[in-house]
Amino acid sequence: MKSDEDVERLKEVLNREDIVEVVVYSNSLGEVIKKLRDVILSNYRTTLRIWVKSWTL
Amino acid sequence: MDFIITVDRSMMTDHHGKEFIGFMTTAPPIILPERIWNWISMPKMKVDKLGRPYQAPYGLRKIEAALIDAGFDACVVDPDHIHRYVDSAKAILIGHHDYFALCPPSSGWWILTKKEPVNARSFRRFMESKAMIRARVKGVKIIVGGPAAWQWLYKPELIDRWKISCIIDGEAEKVIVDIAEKILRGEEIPRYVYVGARDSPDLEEIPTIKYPSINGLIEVMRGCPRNCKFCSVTLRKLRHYTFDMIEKELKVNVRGGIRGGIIHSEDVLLYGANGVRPNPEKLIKLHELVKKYYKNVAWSHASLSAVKYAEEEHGLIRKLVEIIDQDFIGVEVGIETGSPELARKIMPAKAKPYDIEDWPEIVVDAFAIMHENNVIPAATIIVGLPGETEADVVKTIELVERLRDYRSLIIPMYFVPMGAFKRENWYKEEIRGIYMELAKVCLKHDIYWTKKLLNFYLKNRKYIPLKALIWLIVKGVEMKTRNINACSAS
Repeated sequence: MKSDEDVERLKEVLNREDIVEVVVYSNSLGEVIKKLRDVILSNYRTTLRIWVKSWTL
Repeated sequence: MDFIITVDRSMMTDHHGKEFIGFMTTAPPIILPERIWNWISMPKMKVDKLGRPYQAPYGLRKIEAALIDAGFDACVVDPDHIHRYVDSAKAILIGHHDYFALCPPSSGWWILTKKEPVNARSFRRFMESKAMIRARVKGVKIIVGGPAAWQWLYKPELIDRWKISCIIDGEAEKVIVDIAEKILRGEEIPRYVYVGARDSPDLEEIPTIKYPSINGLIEVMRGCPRNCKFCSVTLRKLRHYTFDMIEKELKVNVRGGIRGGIIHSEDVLLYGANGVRPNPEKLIKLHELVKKYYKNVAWSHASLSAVKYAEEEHGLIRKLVEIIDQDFIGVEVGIETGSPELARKIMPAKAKPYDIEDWPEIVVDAFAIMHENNVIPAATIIVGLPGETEADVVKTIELVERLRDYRSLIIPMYFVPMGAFKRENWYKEEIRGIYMELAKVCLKHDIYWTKKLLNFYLKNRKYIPLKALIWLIVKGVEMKTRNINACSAS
């Protein structure tokens, strides 16, 4: 997940799919949560897993 | 020990065996110094020589059971003893129902007093304790979850500061096993997991606790069919435990020396029900089963419409109270609002099988039934709900005044976005005007009844010092309220 378009795509699949896996490149889980909070809150039924990969990798 | 399961003192405590005293952990210390307040509300737990608590929060026991069943080396450890394990542990698992005092009633006390409640203070002290700092330095993974997991979404800076490895939001019994396997294999783990319907455990996948739960609490069902918009529980699938599952957990608690406990469900009276009409046969059998093991019983929650229906259609409250056979039984109930118009918008099924237009009458009837049967409710009211008008609050005030003669506590809670409302705005306003009037009416009701209830809630002689201190707090609050009223009048 890199752009705002990716965030929009995530919104579209939440509550529709059973499970969604997301990979975000960042060095901070806090920053990722801040960025995705509204999307996370819009989800009621999909299992959502967020993986955070470090920029340095 | 590979997996330590723990939480700060505000939750790792039995509140002297008196669950209502647990409410004090949701408030800041008033009248008394914090040390004494904490001694009253969160006394230390008895532990064994390994630092394992004699009782632990039920949710932590479930995670412990899931990991033990899957073959992992895991156990619940008292927060004062985790330093013994941080050098060898692979992960510390923490579960909480109010990490940052953002849930009601903590958030309400915070707004009213402008002081941070002791549960949030206690959790912060725990996370900044030497043992937790050492765990972070050693690279032990820190996984947080429980009913308040959502609160981390509002604390991104603390996620980084406290090096949180993973947040799990939802029923974690299945997903924690997968994450534990990854940790032992040295693999990467997801940093945030929302447990959707697919990964919530089915009934047969819910593990049986291995060691005693705090105050003998046993779960009898998960989920709720009423679909109130402000509630997160209603998003879960509905599952009723079998009598066999319940009996196994009762036996675990009794083996651990527990002689009384709480039957936990979002609506105890809907145990075994198909829909929203209580099932007398199942409820009678449930209570007979619990009484076979426990001397004292309490209900965690019940809905007021179920109280009314159970008694008026089947005389069931009286029958259940006869089976329970004790001085009184405590329960939490939700009034939420006195306005039928608002109730229709936010909780249309709360009154079922009755009409939501009759909500205030249902509340009064249920309170009368409970009063006659010595069932003592701690009732909640939600303030600041989306769409609420001043006229709605006036109706709530009128309803609280009609409940004056019924033995109960009534607590206003300030709206926190959860359930279908989780993207709505928080209630953060200062309490004034009509909301202050509501707070005063509730406080007057609560002071009146607390003074009467203290004597038989804490009637055992061993509670004399505790009763004296709580009496002091009640008198102090009463005096402060009088001062506020005098200032308002002048």
